[in-house]
Amino acid sequence: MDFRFTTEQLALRQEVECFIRDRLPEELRWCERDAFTDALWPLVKEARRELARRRWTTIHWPVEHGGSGASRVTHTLVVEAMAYCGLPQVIAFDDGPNIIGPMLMRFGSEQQKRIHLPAIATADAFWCQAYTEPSAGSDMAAMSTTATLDGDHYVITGRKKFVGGSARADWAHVLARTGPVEHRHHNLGYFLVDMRSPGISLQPIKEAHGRHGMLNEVVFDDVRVPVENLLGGHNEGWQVAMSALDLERSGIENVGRAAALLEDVIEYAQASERSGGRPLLSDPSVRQQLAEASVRVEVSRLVAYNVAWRMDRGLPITHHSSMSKLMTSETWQHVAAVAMRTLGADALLLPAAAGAPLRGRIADAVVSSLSETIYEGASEIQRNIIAQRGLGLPR
Amino acid sequence: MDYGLTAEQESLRSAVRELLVSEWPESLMMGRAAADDPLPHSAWRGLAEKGLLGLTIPQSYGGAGLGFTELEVVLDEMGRSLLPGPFLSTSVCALAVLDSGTDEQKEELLPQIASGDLKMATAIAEPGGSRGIDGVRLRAEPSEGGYVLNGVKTLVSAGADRFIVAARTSDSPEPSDGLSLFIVDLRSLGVTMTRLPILGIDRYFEVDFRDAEMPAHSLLGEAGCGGPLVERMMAWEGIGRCAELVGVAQAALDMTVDYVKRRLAFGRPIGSFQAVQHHCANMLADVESARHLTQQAAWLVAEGRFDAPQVSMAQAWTAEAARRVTATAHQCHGAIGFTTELSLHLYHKRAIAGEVLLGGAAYHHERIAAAWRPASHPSIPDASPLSRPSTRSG
Repeated sequence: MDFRFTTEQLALRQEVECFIRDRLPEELRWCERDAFTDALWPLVKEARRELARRRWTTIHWPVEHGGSGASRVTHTLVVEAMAYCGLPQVIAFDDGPNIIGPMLMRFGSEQQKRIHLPAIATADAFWCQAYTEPSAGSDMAAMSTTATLDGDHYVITGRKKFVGGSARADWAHVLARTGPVEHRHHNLGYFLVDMRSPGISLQPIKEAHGRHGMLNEVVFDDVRVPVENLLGGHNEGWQVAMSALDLERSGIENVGRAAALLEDVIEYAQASERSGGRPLLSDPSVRQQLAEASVRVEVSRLVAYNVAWRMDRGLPITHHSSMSKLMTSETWQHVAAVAMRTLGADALLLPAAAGAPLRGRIADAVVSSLSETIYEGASEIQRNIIAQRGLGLPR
Repeated sequence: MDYGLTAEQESLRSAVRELLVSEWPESLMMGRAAADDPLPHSAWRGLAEKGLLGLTIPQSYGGAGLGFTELEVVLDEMGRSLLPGPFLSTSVCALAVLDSGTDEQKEELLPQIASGDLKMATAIAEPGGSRGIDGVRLRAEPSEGGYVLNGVKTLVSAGADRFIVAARTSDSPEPSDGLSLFIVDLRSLGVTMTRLPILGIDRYFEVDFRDAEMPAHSLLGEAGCGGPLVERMMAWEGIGRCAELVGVAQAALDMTVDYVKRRLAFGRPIGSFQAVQHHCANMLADVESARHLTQQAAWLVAEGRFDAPQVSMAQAWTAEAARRVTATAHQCHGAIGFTTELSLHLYHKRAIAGEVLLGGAAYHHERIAAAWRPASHPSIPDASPLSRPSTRSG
């Protein structure tokens, strides 16, 4: 039992935070909504490369693949720091270093590793994940996109919905059906697809909180994918995809952003006076709500680092990442809601409003945080996993 | 960062488990739940023989010389078995004597505690008083050769032979000033004990002090300077209680998981229904998160960092989490859980009591908020010194 970070870990966190504040463009902080716009994407791309050059995004990768061989706890600390400083997900916790890279290390052929890992490590390649379909969300195995073997190629046809970052992606990791639907969890293949392949087209999806250019429906129309781009076996796609569940999906990003927002709200409440001339923070109900929120942030942080610690120790991850994803996402939602209640109607103002408190971050946080309990396994699915894998309840 | 127990802590945990399964089995607990003194003497002797009563007492005083994190591990198991009696309060008093006692006091009390011959209880709370230092009104006036105590203490653990009493020896606008602590024998003249009819398996007394004369050597620590020690005692007791509540919640969860796997309805185990599964998932999240927070707080306290906000956070969270878990356990058990055929109701009552004995979440939330420093320097770096160097600069 020791809840201390090492001096090196603390120094690294400080270094990361200072770098982001001093050396990255200010526009990149709290830019989640606009990270994929024409105006910001070049800056985002450059920041990704800068962080990759310091080996921070792949700090947990083995040295041979372009990482630093650091522990998961250290990696979690770095991700928390990046989210805490307001870097968007595409920089702070991108699929490449965190999902596809580790999957390639585990299931990839030597050729696949040689081609893809260096480009992910340097952030030259940007990957998107194409699992969800219009009629297959939480029930992922209900997907109908097909991959038909034709000589030395697979031909992929179908529609993938809510593909984040697809308009900017160089590659997609795609789950598609290699045989009849009857065997839901068999007959799926996992494919690495070049987004420039002929037959791929995008249909933009507009999001409720006004985010631009992030989500698309990706249509695959007889897209030819070389057989060497199959990851794992012809029918092993489900196992490959499920291995991602055991990867580090602690949701630590939500802890970082929740902590930062909460601090800023507390600071605001200390500085701003109400009509009686007393600071907002002197209101007992405000103090109670903010303190309670700070407890939830601490709870979420401990649960998230426990996932990383277990991975470092080689302990089994059964329900732990699901629990962490569940709790961190709910905490972020809660903190955003408390922030809005604390500031009142002023918090409705958007970033474009002159003088909006916290530069209009709260309204966006309240709406965008809603999606956190839906994507990458809705909270209901996480609770099923916790009950079945963590407690052994029957399906 | 290390969430794990050492091999020694793991074997301590199993030793406690083993002892309680034989000395305090569920059948005995259910049979004695309504007794005036539920814990049999033999069980207390068992605790002494296993070295648990002297766990944090140095070896030179006949103890095991272990720390507060080990005590946390032991209390988690005790909560799981719903062990009643003054173990926690005795342990807190031992820590207080070790912290502030004179050599004579240590030599007199600590070996007796370790051997199981002396049970002790804290006497800080007063009827109708607010929690903590603010609520201490019992007066101790200097007299010839000592002090005279007048006032009332409540929620004093039953079974103790001596108390550590918090008293006011002088008035001061600052509640933590002018406090003194006394080690009081319950058989002293002027001390009257009244049993409190109270919810649950745990027994408490109200203790009335009427012109009770205490010799000067009964003072623990310096006169008028007891405030910080009372704060430390409340942290030990609070985090110790959290550890017990984590064990209580764990037991309620285990019972529930076992029950919903066996209980059939509509031709299936009810544990296969998502409505039930989601209850159980929420319970596990509460149990594990409360354990993380409690262990972190125990570690902080063991490091002497009593003022860390995480010590309050653990109490705020665990107070509510344990009660949520036992209440949900009842919901999953349905009507049978509401009968005395099962022990679940005793766990729920312990959790209900635990929540209020910890002072409630609101009390601890206010303590967290009180530690936020005025603007210019934001607060959470302060509230999370473990996880964040303060690099934020606006």
